[in-house]
Parts: sequence; C-alpha cells; structure tokens
Amino acid sequence: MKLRVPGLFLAGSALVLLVNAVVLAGVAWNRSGTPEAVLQLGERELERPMYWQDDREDSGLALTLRWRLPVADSPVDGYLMHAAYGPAGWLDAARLEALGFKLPPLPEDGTARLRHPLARELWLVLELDGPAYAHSLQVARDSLAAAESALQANPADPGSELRAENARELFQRASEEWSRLFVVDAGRDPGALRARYADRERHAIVRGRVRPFVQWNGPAGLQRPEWRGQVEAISVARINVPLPLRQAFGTLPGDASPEQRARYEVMLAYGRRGEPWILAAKPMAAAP
Amino acid sequence: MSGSNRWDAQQRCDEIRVFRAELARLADAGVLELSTAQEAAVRAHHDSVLAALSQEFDVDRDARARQLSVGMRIASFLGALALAASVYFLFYQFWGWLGTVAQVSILVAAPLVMLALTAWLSARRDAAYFAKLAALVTFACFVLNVSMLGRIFNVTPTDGALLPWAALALLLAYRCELRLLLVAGLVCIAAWIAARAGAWGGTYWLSVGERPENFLLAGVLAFLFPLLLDHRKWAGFAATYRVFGLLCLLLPVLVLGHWGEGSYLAWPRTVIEGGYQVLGFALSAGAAWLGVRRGWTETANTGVVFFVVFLYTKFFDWWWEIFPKWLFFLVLALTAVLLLLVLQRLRRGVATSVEAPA
Repeated sequence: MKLRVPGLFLAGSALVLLVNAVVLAGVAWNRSGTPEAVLQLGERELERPMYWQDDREDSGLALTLRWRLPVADSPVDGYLMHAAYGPAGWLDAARLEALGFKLPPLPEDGTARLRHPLARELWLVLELDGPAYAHSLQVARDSLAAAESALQANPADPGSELRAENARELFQRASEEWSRLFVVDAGRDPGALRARYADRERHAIVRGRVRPFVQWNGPAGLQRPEWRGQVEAISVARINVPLPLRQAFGTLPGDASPEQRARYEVMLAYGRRGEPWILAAKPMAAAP
Repeated sequence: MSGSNRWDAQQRCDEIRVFRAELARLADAGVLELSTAQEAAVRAHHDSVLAALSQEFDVDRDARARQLSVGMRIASFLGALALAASVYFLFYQFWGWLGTVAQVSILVAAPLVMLALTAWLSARRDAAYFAKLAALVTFACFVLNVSMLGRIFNVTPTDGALLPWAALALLLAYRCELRLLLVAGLVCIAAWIAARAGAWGGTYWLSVGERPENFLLAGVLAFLFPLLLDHRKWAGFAATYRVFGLLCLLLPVLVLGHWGEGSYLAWPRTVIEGGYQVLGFALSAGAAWLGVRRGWTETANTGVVFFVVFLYTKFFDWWWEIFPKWLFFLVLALTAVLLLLVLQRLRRGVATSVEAPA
C-alpha cells in the first residue's frame, strides 16, 4: 500500500496539475464568448482600498463592489440610504418562500426563541443607474425640498436649519458619491432573471447570499413580527486588478477629499458563471 | 525481526535496551550470570539487530537519542509552520508586481517543486525530519496555489477546493508518516462532508457551522475507517482517526446540548437539548468503555475527558446561580476525587485480570 518515491511524485504532480487545469478551464469557460453583462462603473461602485500602495505585506490591488438596496418611499436618514444592510423591501415572506426558504410560523410575541432558516446562495440582479437609483435620488430630493420649506417657514429655528443642512448633504452624497448599483431582485434560475432584465449594460446576474430574518413592525407595544429577507453578501465582491490596468487607479489615498480623490471608469464584465473581470479601466479627470 | 514500520522497530530497540539493563541487575544480584561466551553471543546478536534497525528505520538506539528525536520533531514542526508562513507572505508581498502568467506559473510550480523535494528527501534514510518539513510546506503551497487562483480570477468560493487539499494532505501523510498532515486531510474531508450535507438542504456551504449536526456523519466515518483498513504500518494513524472521529461526534453533541436552535430537528428546544445531553453522556461513557475494552488508550481518554466536560456543564447549569462559588468549586473537586476513585478501582481490576492467568 505504501507509495514509493516516484509514485508519490507522480500522483502528487498529477493531482496538482489536474486541479489547476480544472480551475483555469473554468475561468476560460466563464470568460468565453460574449460577456453575460458589461457594466460601466466608476469609483462610486468600485471602491479602491485606502493606502494600498503603502501596504508592505500585500502588493495586490482589489476593488470592492459597493451596492445598495432600493430605499423606501418615505424620507430616511442618510445611513440607511447608503448602507446595504437591513431588509430588502422586495424580499417579503411570499418572495422568500418562492426562493425556496421554509419559513416557520412566527411567534405572537418576542419571548419565544425562533429557529431561523440559514442563508442560501441565489442569483441576484444588480441594476446600474436604473429606476432604483432614480427613486433614491427622488427620495433625497423630496427630503431636501421638505427640509428647505420648513426652514423658509421658520428661519429662526436652529433645528430646521440643521435638518436642511443634513438634507442638502444627503442629496449631494446620493447624487455624487454613493453607489448607483442596486440589488433589485433574486431568483433561482439565472436564465429566467435575464429574460426579465434583458439590458446587459444595466443589469448583471450575479451570485449572492440571502438570509431571512424577523422584523418587528408597528408602534411599541403593538409590534407584529414578519419575515423579511436581507442580502447578506455578493459572492464575489472583491475584484482583482491585473498589473497592466493598475495605473488607472491613481496614487492618492482613498480617504482624500472629494476634490483630490482618484476618479476612474471601469468596464466590468460578467461571464457565463456570473464571475466578473475587468475589461478596461481608465483614469477620469478630477471633479471640477 | 525488524518489525513492519519505524514504530515497531523503535519498540524492538527499547525492548533490547530494557533487557540489557535488567540482565545487568540480575547479574549484580547474583540471580543469573551468563558465561562470557553466552554474554558475548547475546550482545553480538543484539548489536546486529540494532544496527539493522538503525540502518532500515533510523531508530533511536538509546534514551539520549530518543530525547534528541523529540527535539527534532518539535523543531521540524515549528520550522514547517514558519516556512509555510514565510512562503505565504513572500508571495503576497510581491504578487501584485507580477503579470498574470507569472503569477499562475509561480503558483503552479511551487507545490510541484516542493513535491519533488519531498520525494527526494523521503528517499534518503537520514532525512526523515526534513522530508516531513518539506511535506508540510508542499501542502501549504498547494493551499496557496488554489486559493490565490480564486483571488486572481475572481472565482466564486466553493467547498470543492477542500477535496484536492485533502487528497494531497493524505497522500503526503501516508508517504511521510506525518500525523499532522493526516489531521489536515481529515479536517478538509470533514468540512467537505459537512458543507455538502448543508448544501444538499439548500443552505450556503459556509453556513455549515450553524448546524453542528452536519459534522456527525464525518465523525462516524472517521472513527470506523481504521476498522475497515489495517493501519498497523502507520504508527499512530488509527488512534488519530479515532480521536478525530470522536471530536467530530462529541463537540457537536456538546454544542447542541446547550443550543437547541442549531438543530435540524423540529422539536421543542428543551427536548432537543435534553436529548443531546443524554446522548453526550452515553457516547462519552461508551467511548471510555470501548477504549478500555479494546486497549485504545486515546479513545478511553477522550471518552473520559468528554464525560467530565458534560458533567461539569450540567453542574454549571444546575448550580452556578444558586450555590456560593466556594461550594460550586468544592462540588467539582469532590466529583473529580470520586472519578479518580472509580478509575483507580477499574485500574486495579484490569491489573488483577492481567495477573490472574500467571
């Protein structure tokens, strides 16, 4: 049974080479043919790490995909508008069950401990600069208009002035800084999602994780639980930058002021397996 | 004469050393005195046996050599860990300045070069420790190889990588008689079985830890494997399988005994937790009994340790809040004393049964 020395080398080498061949063949297959989607993204959607050129331990460069969830109709605070956490409005109990989650009955009060279903890897729809982004801008614009009306009605009120200032900042960030990429749908069949979202320059179908959780709605004391879903993560959210494309990403640290921050444009392709790669990248002129 | 593996050969050496010491004592006490010719013949025979074993298996011929071997084992283990970390950080420090072809070439070549070095060192009788060190670095290079390919080409993380890692770890473990790589291979296989068990139910494979029952099947398989395949050629491998299997069984049972929400079972939480606590006591006591009966020291010890852990966690549940701390720890100490008395009684029973046939 004991392997002799040439046997060890031959068997081990065959294993190493076979595994590398399988991985590289998978990469080639993903990138073969016309890309499944090509998105033209900027620094708002693909964030460069801060101080990456000063990292003495890791010389690689990877961009982090920044995405958001569609915002509610009513004005919300900036943190919720910016964050990708929390419930996705379109992921209710019926939708979760259609996605394959078996949701246990909810307790009437918060005392019972509940066995939550685990996360599943599904296909998610990323929408770039589409209706979800337009809606988020409209919500920010309405919020700003309401705050400025209140300030005009009562110019001496310091609270109104502060709210108007916050609303102006929120609108400025929503329109110039935060990602235009939104997760707008999920499904088990990427083909069916592509049929519904046919624009390959606006919609990419990618893998990501969805997890159900219980949200308590209503005023205190009258709260009722309901199942909601959250998008836990996009499976490949760190995009490696190959050496020839690195000069597009500037040298200033990522936390420089907005005027100084590096601006760039990236053509990000998604292949047959829903895995991304950078087709092209170029630096853009700094904001005026 | 020489035994089938290094462990058998080492045992034979130790027996000869003990025989010589006892023979000297018997001669000093005037109980047994060999003639000069007899003594010379026995000594010559043993010397030739020791020389043959040393030549074939690189055994330790005396206590001093044995102590040095332990030091060499520790040094090779620490050296392998440090070398693997060094390879990892070396690649990370420079890979960003290389083109994709160069990155892939280095990643593929590194495990192949280390594999060749391991094979060459394995063929040299005086380089067993260096071969083990090289084998560990080969495995680290292969893990780096596959994980970095995933990062370079933005590949979706998958549990499929665990299988080839396990295959190479086991290949090197069996060739170099390296239990550390056997454990690495078993960890990969157990993680893969658990991940698949979860994924077949539709859940994401990295959520595997949220349902500890996923690990039970891997535990049973690991425990039974040495019964299906004779492992006497590989010293300590069968014991490693058994301990690993027990850990995969008893740790999830311990967790589920206090976290019923983590179970697949659609029963009330208290029923699940109570059931797993009973199962934990039964399994750990069963392991201790089986270990004593079959002479599997490691199995008996693992069973006893887990039995005590299950017992102490129950004590904690029952008494931590209501007893003063001094009384709680006094009860723990008295339980330990009671357990010692039981084990001592068992030990005497075993000793009596061994002496009885004589």
